[in-house]
Amino acid sequence: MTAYLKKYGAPLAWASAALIVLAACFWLDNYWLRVWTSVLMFVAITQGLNVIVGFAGYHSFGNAAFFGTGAYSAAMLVMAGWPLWAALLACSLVGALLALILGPALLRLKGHYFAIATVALNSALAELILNVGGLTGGAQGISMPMSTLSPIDLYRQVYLLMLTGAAVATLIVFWLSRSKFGYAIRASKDSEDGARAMGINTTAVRVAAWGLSGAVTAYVGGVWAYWINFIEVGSAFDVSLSVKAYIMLLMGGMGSVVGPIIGAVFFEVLATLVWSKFGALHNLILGVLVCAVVLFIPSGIIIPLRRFLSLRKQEGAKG
Amino acid sequence: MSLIVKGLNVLYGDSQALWDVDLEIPNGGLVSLIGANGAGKTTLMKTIVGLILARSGSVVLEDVDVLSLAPERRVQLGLALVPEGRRLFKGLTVQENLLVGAYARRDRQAIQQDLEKVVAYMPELKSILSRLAGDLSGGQQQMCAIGRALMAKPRVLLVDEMSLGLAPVVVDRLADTLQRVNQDEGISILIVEQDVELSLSISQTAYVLETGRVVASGTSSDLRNREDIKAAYLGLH
Repeated sequence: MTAYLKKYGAPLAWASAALIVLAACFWLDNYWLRVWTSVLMFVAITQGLNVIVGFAGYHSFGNAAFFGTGAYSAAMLVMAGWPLWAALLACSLVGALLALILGPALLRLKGHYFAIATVALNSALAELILNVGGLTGGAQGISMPMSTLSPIDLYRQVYLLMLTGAAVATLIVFWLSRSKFGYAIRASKDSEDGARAMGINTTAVRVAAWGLSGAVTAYVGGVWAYWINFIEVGSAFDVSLSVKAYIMLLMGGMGSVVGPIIGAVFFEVLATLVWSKFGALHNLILGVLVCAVVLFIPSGIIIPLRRFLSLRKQEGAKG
Repeated sequence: MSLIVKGLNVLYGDSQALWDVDLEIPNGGLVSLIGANGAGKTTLMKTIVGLILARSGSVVLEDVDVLSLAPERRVQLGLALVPEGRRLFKGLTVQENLLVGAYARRDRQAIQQDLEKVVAYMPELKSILSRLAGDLSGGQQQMCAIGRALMAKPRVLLVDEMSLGLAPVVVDRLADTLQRVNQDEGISILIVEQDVELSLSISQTAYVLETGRVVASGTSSDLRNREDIKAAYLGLH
């Protein structure tokens, strides 16, 4: 029995968790459905960030650039008459392409310089879209046609689309945690010279990692545009989106598969509860909490959690 | 495989680090590179594997001039480096470090076999395969670094500062391993080792580097008996 559990325990746990999350959209009410849709969106964004920050060690504070790019490309394609699924697929590709084109230049920068450059990229894209006008709507933004679905059906559809994003992003991270390509990314982070001497093209590996990060972030950006129906530059290229995902990554634990999920769920649900109970103090309470996490568990919730679980396992083995 | 370096010039900005360096590692040979700190040993090794770009000269591996190739191509052609300071991937386990060593290889099936072979050369690795490389002792780290380079299935292996900061018993162990790898696998080796006595005793030929120039070369036993080498590097008068 225990051997059976050891072998199939983890996949079984993952599968049942996925089933519960999948089924949840049929019994959640409108309010909580929206909250959890937003949680799933942040799971995807945080996992995307995990790829470039946790695995590659490049601290991107401008991943909102992909979110906004995804939102705008999906919205523009839907307005041009594309079906939703095609627009979402295309907007993910646009996100990946953006990272692949700019990556070789930006990923030469290290540390703070890269972080600042990504923020600049975000602002530059926002300015660009604001001033191009025409198709992008400029300062007026884009209003997409209302969906013909009933509100609850629409919310369920969006929930499932976000769930798809979160699941794919998590699968990518899972793949990175045990594939040759994943080792190469982590090796490049630990020792640039060592990795290159071992035949890893560190620049190419990083650019590819950022491409994956860009694709999943752009995808949920596209779904988000469809969800809220009206997008404008300020909310699509919102730097606080990147910062929020970064906090979630920090809270959950960088470079792990489960960490970002825990971080995103914990922070988003907590933020919603705090916001509904203490509207005025909401930012203060969250700020204190973030400081506490950084001070006391800098490697994220995942580390003490793992220790706790492995302790329980040992006690169980004794008993 | 043989490796022939000819007329290699390397510059860091305006200051020249290597001047017309000529060096030859014969097929299956074990060659040592001697020199004081700052003589250019590490620069030479890094240039051979492509981590530093040369101004002029040639680095010919068997019959291919690799000087214009990217580092990953050179690894595929059979060059591997054990870098100074080991440069292990600290967040990866020993086994993962070894597997990254095989990153540039295309023969997937043989990798598992070679992993076992590397462990057979250094049995100390067996019990620490699942430990993080950052948690190892210096000797274990160096074994892991050598193992990682061997996983690339090199034909020419460069070992920079083999024993920096290690206990004498570990140093002998590493030297012995490299000698066996050299003899059993026929891998040509260029070694930088601060213990010049040891370095000259295991190698067939040697080169002495001084401020970026090769100032002496010859068979290791000849160099060992030269008065100027004794005085400068062996601490004997």
